[in-house]
Amino acid sequence: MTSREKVFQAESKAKTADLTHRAIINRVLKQSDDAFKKGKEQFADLDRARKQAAGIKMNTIARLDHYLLEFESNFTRAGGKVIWAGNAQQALDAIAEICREKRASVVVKSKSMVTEEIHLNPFLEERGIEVVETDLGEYIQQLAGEPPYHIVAPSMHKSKEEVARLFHEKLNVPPGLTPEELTLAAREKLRRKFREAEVGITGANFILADIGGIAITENEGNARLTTSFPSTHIVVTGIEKVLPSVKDLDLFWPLLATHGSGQKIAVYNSVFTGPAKRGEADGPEEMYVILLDNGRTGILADPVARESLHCIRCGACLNVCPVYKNIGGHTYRATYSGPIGSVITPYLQGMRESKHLSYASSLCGACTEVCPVRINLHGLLLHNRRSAVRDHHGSILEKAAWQGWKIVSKDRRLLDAAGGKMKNFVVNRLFSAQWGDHRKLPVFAEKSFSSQWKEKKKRDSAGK
Amino acid sequence: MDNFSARNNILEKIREALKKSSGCQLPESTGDVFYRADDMSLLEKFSAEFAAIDGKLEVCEGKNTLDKRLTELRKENGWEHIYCNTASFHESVGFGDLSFPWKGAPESASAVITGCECLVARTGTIVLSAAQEYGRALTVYAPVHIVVASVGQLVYDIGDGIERIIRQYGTNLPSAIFFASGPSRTGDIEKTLVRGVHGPVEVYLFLFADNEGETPADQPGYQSKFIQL
Repeated sequence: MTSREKVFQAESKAKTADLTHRAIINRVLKQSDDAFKKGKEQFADLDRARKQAAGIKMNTIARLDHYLLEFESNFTRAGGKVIWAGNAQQALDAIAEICREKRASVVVKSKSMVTEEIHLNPFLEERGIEVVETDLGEYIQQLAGEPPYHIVAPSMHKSKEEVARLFHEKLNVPPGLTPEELTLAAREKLRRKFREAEVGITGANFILADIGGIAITENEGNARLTTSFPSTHIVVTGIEKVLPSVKDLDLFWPLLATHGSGQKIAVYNSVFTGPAKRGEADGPEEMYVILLDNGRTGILADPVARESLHCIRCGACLNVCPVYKNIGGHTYRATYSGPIGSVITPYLQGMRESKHLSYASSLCGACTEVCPVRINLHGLLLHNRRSAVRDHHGSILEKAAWQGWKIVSKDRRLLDAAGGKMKNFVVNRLFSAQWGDHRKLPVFAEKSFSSQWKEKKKRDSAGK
Repeated sequence: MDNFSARNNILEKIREALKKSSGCQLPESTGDVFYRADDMSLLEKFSAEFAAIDGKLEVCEGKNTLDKRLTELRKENGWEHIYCNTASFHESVGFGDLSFPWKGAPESASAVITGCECLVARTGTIVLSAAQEYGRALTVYAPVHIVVASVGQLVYDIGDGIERIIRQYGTNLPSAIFFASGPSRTGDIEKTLVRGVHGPVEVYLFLFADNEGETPADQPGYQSKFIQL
């Protein structure tokens, strides 16, 4: 067992027994579920819409190089700059270079999981740059010094009292504020930052090949401000976020909104095609798009796992996952938590270090059922388990145990040689550790079915 | 590693990876409409959806109604500074008493008035673009956004709105296009819905008929039961 797995098991155990945590998560996810049910009503046939979306993503990923180049060519023509980054360090270096060139002292960010993935904030802070998260949930997490708890709702595990305490301590506002007052306090603090910052950094929900555009979805307006005031806009995005056409948004925006937050459509869906054009009132002088690989081509190279690149990061699979509900978002200790996180994290952080996440699943399939682009999530968890065993990342003891099992179970004489007591003793010794304390190992009968059958036949023929 | 080699590396890895087929059959595109249809007119649909996301619709029969309602709203809400930098509104809407020669987004604006590209009925969306005089920041920075538009700007769905923008601008698209649906909101604190976190707390739409002298009720598809002045 790796040390990460040990930590995971210990933290899972503790979190599962934490009743305050459970009460908050259950309440919040119940609200998500209710909203989702309502949002779904806009679709005449949601399954057909999901099939169509899955088809578009599959076609796009199957020609990923073509679409990335089409995007690059169109975006460059409009005055934007494309930077390709093979790994996190290359992306970080590129951002550092731009910040240096612009003499940036303050950077505002809108919500972006990819910048979490490359650990951008500590990197910039080390260079003396103030980084300000402007999405309210991310702002709360930044004040608390915690990573996001959920890919869409970063601070959903915090009670309003907790947030009020946090704001009181960190922002010097009166104690006991309501959610409305807390939101207003954040609005006031952040307004100044938008105007101060030299650089604005965002993620991307979609890369649009045909118009060379970046689509960003949000409810608060912070991404719009991040892309309005600072003179430089940097987009950091995974290479898999491409859609062939701006027209695909007609389907993907409502799908994302419904599955992400139960809305028909998010409040602000913006498309950016480059820096401000001549004659436009405002907007950045420069716009960069950093296309990040960081393990994604590894997923692409696995024809089975490839479909996990269809993900639009709506978070719906987290919301319905019984494991996520019990252990919470932080226990995964991965940028992407929940079912999709368990599927892709081994490719981003290494199978050996992260394979245990693929075992932390009841394989109930709720994630697969809800996914707006129909990723076979629970199937991919099994696929990861298979890959981990194939590549010898399992424990040697378990492997030996299964080999012993194979030899005995393939040989009738060996199988019948021992009685039930002996079998139970051996199996218990071999497998009880992996099987866990919370479920019973199957019990062997005193005599095997085969022996019982033979005896019965003998008795029957003797009785004739 | 320089950008050129990184680019080639990534493209090479993608091409190598794609040599192995996933074995999945590529589905045919159906091009269907996936959304539930109803028999509402464009205006009815927009009114219902805009109201559902807390937008405030004011249907105007002429300049006079607009002036009157705006004055009332200004008094009711204590809006001190109303800004509008859409030059054509000087004459067509006649905001004689408003401060116009203004650019940027000062802290002092209590409300801003702008036009829009088009309106999407199915989702109650106002489509804005950076190519217009109001630019990027103005419509999201002020606490109140007031949009003046005409019935002819209504389209049915998001896709129709996108097509309209493309028809209008061709390959020279604005640097930013915004599909704004109602006031800014957040649910980040215990899923409690709070309006106006970074963007406007209130969004008003003053909707005119296309031609002077007509009322929106004269427009095809208008049914009075949804609109009450």
